[in-house]
Parts: sequence; C-alpha cells; structure tokens
Amino acid sequence: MGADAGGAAPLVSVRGLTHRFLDGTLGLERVDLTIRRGEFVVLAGRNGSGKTLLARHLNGLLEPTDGEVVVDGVSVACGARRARERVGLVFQDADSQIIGDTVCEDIAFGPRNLRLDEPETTERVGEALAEADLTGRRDLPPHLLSGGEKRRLAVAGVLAMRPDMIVFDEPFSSLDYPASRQVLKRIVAFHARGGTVLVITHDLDRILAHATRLILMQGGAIVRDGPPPEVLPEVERFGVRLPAAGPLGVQSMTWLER
Amino acid sequence: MAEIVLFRYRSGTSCVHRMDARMKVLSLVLMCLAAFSGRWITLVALSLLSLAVIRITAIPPLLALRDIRPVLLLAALVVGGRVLFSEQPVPALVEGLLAAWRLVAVALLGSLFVSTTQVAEIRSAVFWTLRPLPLIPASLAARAAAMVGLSLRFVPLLLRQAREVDLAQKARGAGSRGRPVWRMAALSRVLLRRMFERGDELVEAMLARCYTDEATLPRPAVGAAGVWAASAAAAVAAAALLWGL
Repeated sequence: MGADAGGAAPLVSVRGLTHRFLDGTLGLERVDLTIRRGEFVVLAGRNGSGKTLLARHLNGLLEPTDGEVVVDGVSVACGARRARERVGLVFQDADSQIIGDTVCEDIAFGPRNLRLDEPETTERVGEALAEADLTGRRDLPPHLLSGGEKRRLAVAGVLAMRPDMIVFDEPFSSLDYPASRQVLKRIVAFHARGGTVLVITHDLDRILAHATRLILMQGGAIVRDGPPPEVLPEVERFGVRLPAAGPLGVQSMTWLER
Repeated sequence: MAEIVLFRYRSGTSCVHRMDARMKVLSLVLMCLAAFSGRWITLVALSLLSLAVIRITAIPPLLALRDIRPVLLLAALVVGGRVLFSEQPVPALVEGLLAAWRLVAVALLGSLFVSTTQVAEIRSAVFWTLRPLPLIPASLAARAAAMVGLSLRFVPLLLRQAREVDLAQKARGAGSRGRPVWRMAALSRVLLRRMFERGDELVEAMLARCYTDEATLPRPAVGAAGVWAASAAAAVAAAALLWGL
C-alpha cells in the first residue's frame, strides 16, 4: 500500500528500516517508505508507535539496526551531514533546540554551520525572520518569547538552512489556537513554495486538511498509507482520534481561512 | 513568570555592546587584578567605571545589583564574619568592608560583561584568540570556543530547571518535614538527570542543524572603544599593583 504521488522524484527512501533498542525492544520493524518531492505527509499513531523514532532516522540522528535510509539519492549512512542539509527537523520541544542567546543568533546558527559567509548568513537570517514573522523580536533573548513564538523560532532556525524537506514533530503541542494557526501558516507556506513536509502528530484536526497523504503507524510498523479521505475512516482503530469534522470531509477541517 | 537573571545577555546598541569581546575580556581581567591588588582608591575608580558602563548601556542600576544578589549576601557574611570573630572589631570592620567591596566590584563587572556580550561573541573571541597560537589546531580552538559558549548559554537554563524541580517537589510536600539534606539530595538527583537529558537533546538539536567545529564565526574587530577600555583598565591595574592605591 502506498500513495500515488505522481511522477515526482523520491526525496526520501526508507528500505527495510529496523531499529532495536539496547535492551532488545523493537522500535521499528522493517519499515518501507518513500516520500516524494512536494508531498505533504501526515504521520500519525498512538504514543510509542515509532513516529518520532522514524523521524530521527530520516536525517541520520539515529543509525538503523538494519535497513537503509536514502536521502536525495545518497545513503544517510554515508552522508549524514548531507541528509541533515536536505532534511530539517523541528523538535517537539522548542526549548531544547534553541541555542542562540538572541532570536537572531539562534537563526544564524544553522547557516554558520553550513560555512556560509557573513553576508549570506545575514541575508538568510533576515528572510527566515520575515517568514516566521519574528523580525520585531530579532534581538530578544529566546526565553522571553511565548510558546508559539519559540516554536516559530525553531521553524525559522531550520528554514534558514533552506532544506528540501522539513519534519515537524508534534508542532502544535502545548500551543493555543492563535499560536497553532501561526505555526500552521508557516508549514503551509513552506509547502506552497515547493518544500516537502512531514508532520508527526496524533491530533489530525489541525493539519489534515492540507495533507496529500496520511500514514498511520502502530507497533513500529506502517499499517496504513494513502490519501487522507481513504485512510481517515480507520484512524480510530490505531489509536488516533477521528476529527470531529471528519464526516464532513477532510477539506472542511482547515484552521486557516479558505 | 519569575525570572532568574544571572548570566543573562541584555540586548543593546551601546559602544559597550559593540566592543570587541576580546577587549572586554582583557579589560575585565585587568580590572579584577586591580580589585584584588588595590585598596580604596582603586575600588572607587572601579566603581565609577561600573557606573559609567551601567549609564552607557542603559541597564537599570537596581537590576544590575539584583543580578548579583547572591554575591551581596556573601559580602554581608564576609563583613559580619570578620567583625564577629575578631578581637578588634573596628579594624576588622574596615578590612571586612574592603574585602566585601572587592567581591561586589568583581561580581558587578563580570555581570556587566555577560549582560553586554552575546555568547556567540564570546565564542568568536575564544576562537580567534586561540587560533593564532602555535600547537593549537583550528578544530581544537573551535571546540574550546563552543564549550565556553554552551556553558555560558546554559547556566540560566540550569538555574531555571533547578527552580522548576524545587517547585515541583514543594508542590508534593517536600520541605514540610524538615530534613534539608535529604531534600537537597532529592533535588540534585532529579536535576542531574534532567541536565543529562537536556544535554542529549542539545546534542541532537545541534547535529540536526549540521553542527561543525569549522562553522563560520564572525571575526571580531578591535575598535577605538575597545582600545580605550583596555587602556583605562590597564591604568587602574597598574596603579593598584605599583602603588597599592
């Protein structure tokens, strides 16, 4: 099973990915997955189903026990750094990935690690600030930002590296309605510019209207994979709440203005 | 939200903020040397310098003092201790006040340094200071710079975590039965574990953004303000060391 993503080239290919923890617990079991350029994928499942574990393999933060992850034609095992340049990851806890002591410095962290010169770094920081609507906050210490602003800062820090794909791990957790909308706008805007998106969530309400593909995981394996209208009726079987607007159609769920 | 303000950068555009971090470090070292070598005149000069920095950077004076609250408490204990345990209270009081003033002067200068210097600038300063030295490869200089930067960046985080853990334990009745040693041990255990977990998360976050020892670090530029500051600090240090002022 798998979604037909048309003729778009594969950006990420996962083949037989298995992850076993040190105590022998199986975290992922022979996962096969292809994500094509331009897709907007939602990955859902109950807690402990392996969603975050899978995400960390996509940019080489974890090494598989077996199997392979290929990003843009190059195995992550041979080029983790290259994978991280192509696939950005926004962590669930924004505080844990904020490194700079001002908003501006935090965003500049990524471009400097890409060894860009200072003028290029400055340009990218300016763009990322504007995209995340944080220009007025550029000199603030991150700990003074609200929860939504910190999440947008985390997004901006990844946007400044200009990846081909961004993985968002529970991007709406702990956010109120206005903050969720702001983060959602950034995700949708990135996709509209041609970026590939993978959103990990167990809360489909906020995001599914924009997705081209819905994948469900359980017990470290992919159990359903297809267009949202096809997969949605089965979500509750796998520990994911059916959105209240589900019966009205996927498109009706959007939190943004139509 | 209650704020823990130790070691926190406060943004600004003053000449002190824009000064080369290396000149600030040099000036700080010289002024600390002066503080512990000199006496009243030196301490008056250092205090006036501190006030000048507070004025230039527009940091509220009360906030600057609040930043060093623990040191003020320590200074009070130093004075009290000297007087209590001396057979000649008046000379002991004078020497105690001198010692306390030194402590406060150094702490205030250090706090002002951190308040006006971004961690990235400190990191650059450490890198560009170590790099020209023989026998120190660029990667080692970069790694040392990153370690210094991260340590400074995460001291406020550590203090915030300690506060959260303490409040969480109090919410479950810890502290209501006395036993401060037990409570401290319980706090330390949890805090240590949280710090290691936070460290793991930090490593992942840095790797996810392609962390490298060879990152482009802005090259600091020594300006006139830095030269003036270092010269003033050197003059005060010289006066303290040579004439004991």
